[in-house]
Amino acid sequence: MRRPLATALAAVTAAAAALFSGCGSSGVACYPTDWEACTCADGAQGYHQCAALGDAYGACDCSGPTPGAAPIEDAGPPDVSVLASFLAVCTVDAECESGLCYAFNAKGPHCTIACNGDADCPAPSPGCSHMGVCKAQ
Amino acid sequence: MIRRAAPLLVLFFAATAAAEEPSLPLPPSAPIEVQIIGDKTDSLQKIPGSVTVVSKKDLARAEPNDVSEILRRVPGLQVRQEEGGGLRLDVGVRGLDATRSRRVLVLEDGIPVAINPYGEPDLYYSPPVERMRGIEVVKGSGSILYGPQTVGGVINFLTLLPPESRLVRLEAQGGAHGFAKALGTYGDASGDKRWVVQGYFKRGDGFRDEAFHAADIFAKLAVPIGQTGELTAKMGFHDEGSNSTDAGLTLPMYLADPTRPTIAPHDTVAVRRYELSLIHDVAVGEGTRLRTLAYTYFTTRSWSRQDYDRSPVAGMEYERIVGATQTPKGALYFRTSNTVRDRSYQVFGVEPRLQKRFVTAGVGHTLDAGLRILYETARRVQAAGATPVAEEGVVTGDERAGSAAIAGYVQDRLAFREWLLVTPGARVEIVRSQRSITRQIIAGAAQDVDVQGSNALGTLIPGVGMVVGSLRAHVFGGFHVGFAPPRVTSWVDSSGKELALAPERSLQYELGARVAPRPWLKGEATGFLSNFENQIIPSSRAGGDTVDLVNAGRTRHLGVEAGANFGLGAALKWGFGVDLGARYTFVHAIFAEGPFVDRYLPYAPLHTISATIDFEHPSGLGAQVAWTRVGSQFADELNTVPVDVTGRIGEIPAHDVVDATARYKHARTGITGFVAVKNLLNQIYVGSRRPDGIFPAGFRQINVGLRWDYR
Repeated sequence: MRRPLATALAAVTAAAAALFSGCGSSGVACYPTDWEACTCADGAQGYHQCAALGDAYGACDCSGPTPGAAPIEDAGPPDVSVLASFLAVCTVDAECESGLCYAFNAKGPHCTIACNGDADCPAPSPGCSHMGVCKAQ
Repeated sequence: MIRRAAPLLVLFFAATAAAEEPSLPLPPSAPIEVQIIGDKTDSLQKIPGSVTVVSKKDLARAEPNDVSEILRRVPGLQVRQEEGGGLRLDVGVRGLDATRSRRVLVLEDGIPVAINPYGEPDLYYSPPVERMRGIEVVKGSGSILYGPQTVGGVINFLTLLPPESRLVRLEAQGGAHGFAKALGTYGDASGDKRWVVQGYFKRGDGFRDEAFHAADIFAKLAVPIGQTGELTAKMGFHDEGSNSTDAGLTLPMYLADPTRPTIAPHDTVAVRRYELSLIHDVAVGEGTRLRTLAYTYFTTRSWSRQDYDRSPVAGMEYERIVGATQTPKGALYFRTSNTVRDRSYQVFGVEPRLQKRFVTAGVGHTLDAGLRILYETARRVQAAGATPVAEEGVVTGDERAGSAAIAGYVQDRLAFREWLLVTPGARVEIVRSQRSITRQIIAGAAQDVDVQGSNALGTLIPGVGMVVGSLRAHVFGGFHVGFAPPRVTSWVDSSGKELALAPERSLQYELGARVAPRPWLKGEATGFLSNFENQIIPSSRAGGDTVDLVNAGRTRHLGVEAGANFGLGAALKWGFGVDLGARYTFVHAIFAEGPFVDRYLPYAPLHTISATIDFEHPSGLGAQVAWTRVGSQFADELNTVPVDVTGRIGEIPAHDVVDATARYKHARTGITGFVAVKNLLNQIYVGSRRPDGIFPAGFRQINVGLRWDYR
């Protein structure tokens, strides 16, 4: 009786050892078409894009705006003669009636106001965020 | 240390204080544990509501990786597959939201599992399936004895019992996606004391490079106390970590490659839990038993998530940009910072329960009465990390919350005849919560503050159920008040003001029938209606760093659920087992007022169906195939069908899941070899659009394992 039990125990232990020794990950360099920050020759930040095969990043692109950003028109400072209303998209505080352009994590920058509770936030804001500003829609 | 140990000692003495009184001896092998339903043949007949019992055999046949695999085969439950190696459980009941299982009362051996059962009933820790020997699921009026929540139902996980003789189990498992698991169980009896210890470690690379690991140690000791009592002490330690994130795929990303690796590889969550419980059971006279639960558990959860924007912010430097940058909001822009959310929770509870059986005027009574005292605390710290992988940073939020609650309940099962049981009952809940904020962000800048707020409520939760019929066939029905206490953060807002969101109340009705005409044939069908005065749901408009909960107003959940099991092999006397099982759930869950009236609640599929076929041969060969189909569902209150670019809004198509297992047990050596294939079809589907984007699911996982059992 002892021999089969010892054999069984050894088999289970060996199997465990064999299974655990096989752990590992795929080790791909990058995901195709994703961008990563890189440093330009002048020290500024640029972005380089992962190659289609996912094996390496391309050259550092230092030519312009963040990938996906709207082209920057040389129109001077933002036109603040017409101020953006509550929860309108904005880029700087000066554009907003409230004087607060807040960069929400998921929704990007919107004009908002400071708040202490939901009652401080007029519609269409769904309420006061934990960051103390009225949430964007 | 002394401060932490003191409550444990108090709990210990509270539990053992009642042990001295002698009375009737216990049966020699009576297991002392907290079951809702019980093991006796007439147990199901006594429950005035829909019931599902997942047995030890059901668990063994499925070789589950996690409990969600089993729960999605239970009528009335919707289970959302979440990433992270099945370490988190998202289960909803009858159209109620499944997020973090916060709408269902989850117990382990009768003890709450949620990190803070009143103030934050989320399931960041899910009881490991490796510990389980059974699962009970109760809905309807049979659930009012348990709480605090009664809006959905009760899921009670039953853990391993200390054996009466030596038990050894060693198991090793490995499989695709770097999955590996090693498990050891040892139990024995010494004189009249019994004990069991189990430990395991598992890890995996995840389906989309979301690595996970978990280690768990669990021990139970059963000791007789006096001639009629027994004390069971249970201790547990659980530690896990995974690359879990809230950032899901955008629609262009999903369409291009639904299997792409996680887009937030720096995001990590770590959960640790310590638990200690004592269950004392004593007969205190003929037909009278006193069972006392005393428990405490501590849970810590630290979640670091990299900050990101959905559109580039002028002047912001990003670490990475993933997705379709040419499509507005088709990409995510990951900043060079993160947010660290450290939370810790403590729960202490004592619950004496008395059961007395007696007869008055020819009517049999089974009276259950009890008291539950629970105290819980939470601390939430939020910090702004300076790098994507920072583990600490500038504290931007710091708050503490706590709740003290007392609940009393009484229920009397009146047996007018053997075939007529009426069970009225009621529970009273009194809870007081407080919140103290010492640091928060005001107008974009973190400031020290001193905000205090508190709130309190008391409520009565009545219910009545009825069973008419025999063991073989009976009808049951009932109604009860559904209640869920408000979360602390929504009950006391960030300015310390009261009642941002109200507690939830509903009226729940059930009517059903159970039949078991032969040992190999049984079935149950239940119709239900839940009318919520005000249901609180996660807003589909939420995103980013928080999931917002909003008042949804009146909602109505109307449906039917049914299940049947047919032992074909036993019926035809084949000499080997072929068991067929089928379950179906229909839920029509809609808004009953407000701007979304008559629209479906988000994440409430209309149809869910599952079926299993099991084969078991005396030679030791066994196999199972299980199929589940979850119907299409909406992700927002407007029931939007088209999918938006961010992937957060839009219909979630129906999907099918097929699992298969095969095993062979060599009786002489006690060795079992098995192979388990999860998601056999490998059909990738949209598992969820929450918290913030598309989370694919349905990845095939093949595991092989070897197990040695010795008794």
